[in-house]
Amino acid sequence: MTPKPATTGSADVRLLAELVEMLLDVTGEDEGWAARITAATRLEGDLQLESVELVALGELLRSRYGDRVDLPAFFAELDIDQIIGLTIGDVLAYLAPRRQTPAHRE
Amino acid sequence: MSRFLLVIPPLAGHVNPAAGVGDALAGRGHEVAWVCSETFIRPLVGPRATVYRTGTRLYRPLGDRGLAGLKSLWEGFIVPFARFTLPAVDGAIEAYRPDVVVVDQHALAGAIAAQRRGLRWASLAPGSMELTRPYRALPKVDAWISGHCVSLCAEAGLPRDETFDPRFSPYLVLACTTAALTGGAAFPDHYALVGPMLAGRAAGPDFPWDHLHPGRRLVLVTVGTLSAEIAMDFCTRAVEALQPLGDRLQAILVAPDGALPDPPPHILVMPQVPLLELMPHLDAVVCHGGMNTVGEALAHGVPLVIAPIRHDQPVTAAQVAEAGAGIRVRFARVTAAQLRTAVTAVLDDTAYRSAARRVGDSFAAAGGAAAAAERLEQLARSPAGQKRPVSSPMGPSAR
Repeated sequence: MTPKPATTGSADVRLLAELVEMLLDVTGEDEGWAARITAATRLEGDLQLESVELVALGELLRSRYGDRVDLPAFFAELDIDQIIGLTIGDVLAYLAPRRQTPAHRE
Repeated sequence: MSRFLLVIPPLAGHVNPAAGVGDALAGRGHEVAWVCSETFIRPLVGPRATVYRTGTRLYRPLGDRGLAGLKSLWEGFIVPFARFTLPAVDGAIEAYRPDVVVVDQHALAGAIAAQRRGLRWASLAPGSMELTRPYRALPKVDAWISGHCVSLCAEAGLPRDETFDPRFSPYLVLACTTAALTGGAAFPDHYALVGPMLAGRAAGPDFPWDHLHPGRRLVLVTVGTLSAEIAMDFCTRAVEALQPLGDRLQAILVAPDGALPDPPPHILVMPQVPLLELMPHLDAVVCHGGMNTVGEALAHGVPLVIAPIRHDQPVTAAQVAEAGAGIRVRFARVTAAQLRTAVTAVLDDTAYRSAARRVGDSFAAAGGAAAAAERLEQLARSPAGQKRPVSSPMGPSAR
């Protein structure tokens, strides 16, 4: 399964694919749902992620990429409009410089 | 005898507990008047009650979920409602001369008007949200809410006061919950957790009681008064979930007439039900976590399956799950199979019912509307101007 990302670089593509995989894990959705996820997809408005799912996603991200990836801390810095408008691309931009154990080295 | 003015927003989940307090106050010989939309409050308080009308205006429909829902709640309802009703509240105080103003946490004009005149006022918290500050993990969101309160106070000409928050009375905060649900959160002494206030409800609509089979378990599915299409999607899944269980249960599903064509014979679809009268007959309730329904179910020891949608519903759902009195499922994504598993679990595993009974016992011990009336009576009798210490300008620092 390779979703079509709005971003270009191959590292971005890989990171998006990993993030989508984790989203599938926490939501229990199917691959048709996952295939529609791009960098422009909003977590709240489009994916309708619920708070329990965000908590689970935060835990998955931390265990996969290390303690520098702290989703609750990332959210704590955002104001209400930023959270409402938060996209998959924003999460990728947060993850990219912080992740410590990229999947391709596992 | 004291005079109480209750300032209440035109929202079903808020008018019901307020009517309970009003009833209890009147029963203890006090005078009670209301500032509310007459359409909402009149059926609950009867033709002779004094109602100062706020008039009605159209508020944006609150259809959003998550933080977009929070934003539309504040910008589309709480803030404009406070602005729109402030003159009516002022006029009511002028005319009625209350000893105490009782202010719903979503009717901020009541707090502002009382504060402006140096009157004692109490907060009425029908839901779980404002009590435990669920947005403390999002400090900028928390600050955004406080900012709205500060602006409203400034607009109304209140002198800047860091300790004044129109959501939290420094005299008395009445909450329709108990520690059995709020868990370890610590509250200051002027918080009274009195449990749900069930009195004061008008008689419910007719119900075909002879349709109920005494030998089968009875499950109620209700997702409240929210927008039709998201409710329908959930109800469709609920019907699918309960479809194969016809040999063991009956279900009552609250939905508009004709919204769910041809339901199976063991599922009764009705636009309205007499919730309180039904409660003693129910074995489980599936709902979205509105505080009225949750409070009434737990007061009757009925376990819950909660699919929270917005506002304080996720908080309530988490509290109920934590107390062991129900199961939280995801509103948008729960499948019919998952819903069936959850309903079967709360019906079959007696631990859920026992926990629901424990919470219900804590409600009974907390005293409900009668206890709220007693606290209000004490506040009315206390020497004028005596404020209780406030631990923090923004309410309790719940863990």
